[in-house]
Amino acid sequence: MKVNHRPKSGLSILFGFSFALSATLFAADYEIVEKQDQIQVESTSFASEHHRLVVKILTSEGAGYREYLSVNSYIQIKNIDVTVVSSEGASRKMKSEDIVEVPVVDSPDMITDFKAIVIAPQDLTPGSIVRIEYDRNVTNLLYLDRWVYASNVPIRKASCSVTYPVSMPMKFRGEDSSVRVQKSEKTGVNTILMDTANQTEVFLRGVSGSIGAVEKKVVFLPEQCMTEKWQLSTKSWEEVAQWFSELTKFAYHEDPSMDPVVQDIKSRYKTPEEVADALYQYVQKNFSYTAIEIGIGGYKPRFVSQTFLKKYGDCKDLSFLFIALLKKAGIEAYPALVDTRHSKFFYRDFPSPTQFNHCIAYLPKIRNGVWADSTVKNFRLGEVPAVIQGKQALVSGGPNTLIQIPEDLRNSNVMRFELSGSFAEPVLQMSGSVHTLGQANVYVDAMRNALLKNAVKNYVYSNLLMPGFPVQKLETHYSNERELKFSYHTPVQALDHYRLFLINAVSYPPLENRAQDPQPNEFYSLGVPIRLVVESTIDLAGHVLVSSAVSREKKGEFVTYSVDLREESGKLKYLTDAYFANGFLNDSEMKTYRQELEEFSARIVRTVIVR
Amino acid sequence: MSLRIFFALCIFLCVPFFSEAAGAHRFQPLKDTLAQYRILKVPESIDYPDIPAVGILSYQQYRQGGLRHTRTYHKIIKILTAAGKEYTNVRISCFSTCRVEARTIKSNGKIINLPGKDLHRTENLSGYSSVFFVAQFALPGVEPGDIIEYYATVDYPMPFLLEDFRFSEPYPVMKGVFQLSHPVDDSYSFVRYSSPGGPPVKVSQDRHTDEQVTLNSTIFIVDNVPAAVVEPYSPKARQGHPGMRLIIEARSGMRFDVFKDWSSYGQFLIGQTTQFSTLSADLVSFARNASGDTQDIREIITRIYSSADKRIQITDESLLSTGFEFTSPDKSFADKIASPHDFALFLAACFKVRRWTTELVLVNSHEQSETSKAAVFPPDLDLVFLSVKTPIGEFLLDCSENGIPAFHLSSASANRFALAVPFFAVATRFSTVPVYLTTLAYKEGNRNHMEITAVPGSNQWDLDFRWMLGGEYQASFVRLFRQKGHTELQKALIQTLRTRLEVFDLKDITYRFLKDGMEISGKASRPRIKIQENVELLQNELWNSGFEIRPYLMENRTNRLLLPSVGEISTTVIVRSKDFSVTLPQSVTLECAPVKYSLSFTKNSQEVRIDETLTIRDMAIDSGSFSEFSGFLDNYYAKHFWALLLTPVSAPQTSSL
Repeated sequence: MKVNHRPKSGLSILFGFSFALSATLFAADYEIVEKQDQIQVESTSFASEHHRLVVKILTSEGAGYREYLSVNSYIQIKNIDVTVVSSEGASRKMKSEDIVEVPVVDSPDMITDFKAIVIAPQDLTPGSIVRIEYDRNVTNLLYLDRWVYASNVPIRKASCSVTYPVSMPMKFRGEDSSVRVQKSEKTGVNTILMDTANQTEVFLRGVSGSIGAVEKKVVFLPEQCMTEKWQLSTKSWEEVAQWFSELTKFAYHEDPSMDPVVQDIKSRYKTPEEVADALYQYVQKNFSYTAIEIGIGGYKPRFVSQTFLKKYGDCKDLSFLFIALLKKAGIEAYPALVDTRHSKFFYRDFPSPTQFNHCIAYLPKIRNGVWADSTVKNFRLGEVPAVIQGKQALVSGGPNTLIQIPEDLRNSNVMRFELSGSFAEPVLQMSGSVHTLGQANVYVDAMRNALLKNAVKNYVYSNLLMPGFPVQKLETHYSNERELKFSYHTPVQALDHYRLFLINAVSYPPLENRAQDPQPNEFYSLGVPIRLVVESTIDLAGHVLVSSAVSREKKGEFVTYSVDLREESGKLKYLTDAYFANGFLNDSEMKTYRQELEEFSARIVRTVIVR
Repeated sequence: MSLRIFFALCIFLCVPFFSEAAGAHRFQPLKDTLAQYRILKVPESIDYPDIPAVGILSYQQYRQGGLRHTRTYHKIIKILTAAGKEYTNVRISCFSTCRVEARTIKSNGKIINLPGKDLHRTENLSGYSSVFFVAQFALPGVEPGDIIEYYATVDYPMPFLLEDFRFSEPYPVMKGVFQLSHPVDDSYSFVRYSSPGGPPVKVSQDRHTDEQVTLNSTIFIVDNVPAAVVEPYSPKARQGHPGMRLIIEARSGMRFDVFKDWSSYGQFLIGQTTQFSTLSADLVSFARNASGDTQDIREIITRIYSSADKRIQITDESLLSTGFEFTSPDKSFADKIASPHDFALFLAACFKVRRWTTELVLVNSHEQSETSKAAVFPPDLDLVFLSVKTPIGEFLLDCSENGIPAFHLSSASANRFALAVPFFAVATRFSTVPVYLTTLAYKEGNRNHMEITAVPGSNQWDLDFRWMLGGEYQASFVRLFRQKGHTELQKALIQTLRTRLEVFDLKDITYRFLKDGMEISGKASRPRIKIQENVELLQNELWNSGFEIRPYLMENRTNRLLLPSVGEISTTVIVRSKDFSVTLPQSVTLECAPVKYSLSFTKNSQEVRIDETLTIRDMAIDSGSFSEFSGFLDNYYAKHFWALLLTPVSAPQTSSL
């Protein structure tokens, strides 16, 4: 669907949901005094788990503590036992009828079989202790519970045991030096014991991402398991790719009505690249994003014939449809699994389908390899959303291995303001356009919707232009699919012989990060990289520039900019080109980012004086 | 089921949910449906340029029957553009049985029915109780120019009591129909709404027999309902659109006097609280200790209110969601947590120790006073105050949230209708909350004042600032301090100040809580900007007032504009300028009721003083004032952006340039 609303695989829904909810409370409102997780893998398709959690409420806000347990057709939860001990020591059991199962309501375009069991103990006060125990069974080992040992609440003591038959080798990943690991074998059963203590909170701040990305956790997966009737080997990426090929090989079931579409495009376009681009536009324009992820549907696409007729689908459905159309046109293409989360969280040495949450297409013979995301709107072939640039993609079929998607983040998400101004005292009239590339296209596309016209103007006013700046009589017009025309007035102040006016009203959202004081264990999810270019030419109508001419350039680790201001033949020429390498930063990276922002902030020219 | 759970469920059910494919209903040919509702034309995209979808018919029926009621939805929507496909994903919540049927009618007349396997219902998976289920479907094969039609029937496990119904959808609707059917010995009252110049709500009534039950039906019809588009700084999108408020009057021949009029509702609330008139020794002791040994009545009230505010966390539960049940003051005292109305009752109990009478004052923040009296609708009364009557006068205390100073009236309550209900007594009266700014001094109200002294350093302006916050402006900081303590408050202050002053370096930040607000002080610096050898500029572009209502918000607007708060936001900047000759801009005063702005520049041999004040006397700007207010805002933003030219006195003066 949208670049900023990634489709998710089944597991990411599970994780994202539970963490989003737990993140609603402040970190220090409660703490986990103890957590014990026991996982017993019994076969290639069944594991039983027992979980125990002791939570202490620390503040009155913590009285709102809730525990959410995800269930779906592969996950059963039973024997939930909850005891609340009040701060005065009185103990009471929570009645099972007070534990409820509710649907998981994500977004309107997401249909899922995930539900949540809500444990909401009443009358908690600071000092209360909540003890929760429950059994969890999974019938698909991709849904084995991960062991979280540091999250956004303090964890005083945590332990985990995993037992599995020696005939079923198990791999795990994610522990750090604070975790003690012991392995043992007894009567044909292997046991991994892990424990740790006094883990402080991990914080996540910023515009996107979930705490699940930064919490410390160990994930487990057997080297062999069954995903319904498909056998998955996780010894190598090639074997994971092979599993995906097997799982999806019947997806290419076509419908005869697809033929005319391909024939029509082939008759109008000559080269394979033009045909591929036209088919890409066809999919973007005629199909909408709706994810129906039920059971294995989190990984397995539907028949392309169904997608073609229904006119909607999720990332897998739309990618497979696009690939099927390409194949019909004689163009080689393969599906590729990719993770939209930051590459810091990708374990290259841990082959597993659970590391991916998105599916795209790979066209190896077009321009030495082109990647296409069919869930976006208003993208051309070869333009790749910033969230997947530079990521490892597992191509299923063809090369059948991990390939890194090329990265050109500086040009992936660009807004270029081109303005010209003229004096008509007491105002300066500015007019021009904003050209967009990448994610920013969405807003231009939205201008076509008459019901959203005010919303887009609102967007321009509140996001593209700096709040509080004297921008008056703003008008925005849809120009073409990637361009908005706009105009505004800004006052010219007269001070003696001088005239003062605003030349750069553009908002630089990263500058808002100046308010952040990075702390240890803090992570910052700052969204996708963005480049903002402001280019203005103002007719000075006989005035002379008083402000000093400027010509500066700086290439930083996170902020790269150039500023140029000069008078040329009675005109004021102004250019600021600023690139912000947003992403997922730890606290020390954030400190550097802040210093660079501070410098940029001091160098940027907002107003000029003429006389 | 307790009343509390019952009403909580009621609120949940008021959300228009719809889910289970196939049932007894069978679609009739589209032309027959259109003829039935006298819809003469199927719209084309040319009729609605650039609109993504248009509702041809939006029909809803509520059928009351004993302890249950059934809601039926029948929607026909024409998808006009690719963006309109957003409306083809449908989610319906249901409780026990519910039936859904859906189809796509292609532009060539071909019909694609929703297959049963494509209707997804969340079944119970764990065995733990499921209050409700969700059924979801995406209509198949939809392209611009197609029509989608779906029909859903949902059984609700409770009688229909009341609802503020609106016909509007996120897209325009050609024909909106609502039918309320009920047995003849039930009755409902209703009040219709239509916006000025908007489509009227037509009503008709009939009586018919269905499954051997005689039913009364009231049918409401509206033509050409505009789309409800979310607008910033506004009441809910649907508010102001055509609709009606429905409230039960009688069921099975038994009249519901509770909602007959406001007085009856007040009497009902009195009945809910009389049982709590006996106070425990612990509570009496708390009230006495809190007030201490002072004899100053105002001080006693302040102390008790402040002690209660510190002890008890106020939740956001409404009176309706608690089933109109009050919690005893003793329990609130012990649990240290209370809803706003329970907090008011707790305070009333404390003042009862002093033998002062009290009233629960419930305020409608949504509407002006007179219109609120038209129909009893308890959910409208969303703000909770306590009125305390003492020998020296009457005092109002805000019980809606923590951290508000005593005697402060919140922005949303200014000029709004209020219902006053005596606690531990027998009468009810109406009142209108006094106009806030004319009855209370600023020190007791919403006050946000920043004082900045700028002293020239070698390359920078050294800024000394003092920030004073009163009323709502300080409330979030007070709450944060109580919940998280000093470190978290310090962090929050630094973040807020960086935004307010737009500076990176801040130092020596200190804060203190005063009787009438909060004071924060500290230091910062900003670079000096030389524009020529002997001329420099000092401008306020980076001193952000936090007031961000923009003129464009008035364009094509259908809803009232709600300003963020009432009160006063002001900044005083003192520039130590004895070494400079300063060119000052002109002072200015702008006014457009209820907002006033003034900016003044004065100087003497030592300093320049800039005083800027924005005063807001009411949150609401009605549509009649949009044009004028837009002009005011344009002027405000132009003038708010001021600058000073400074020339060192030792240098040649600017006039010689």
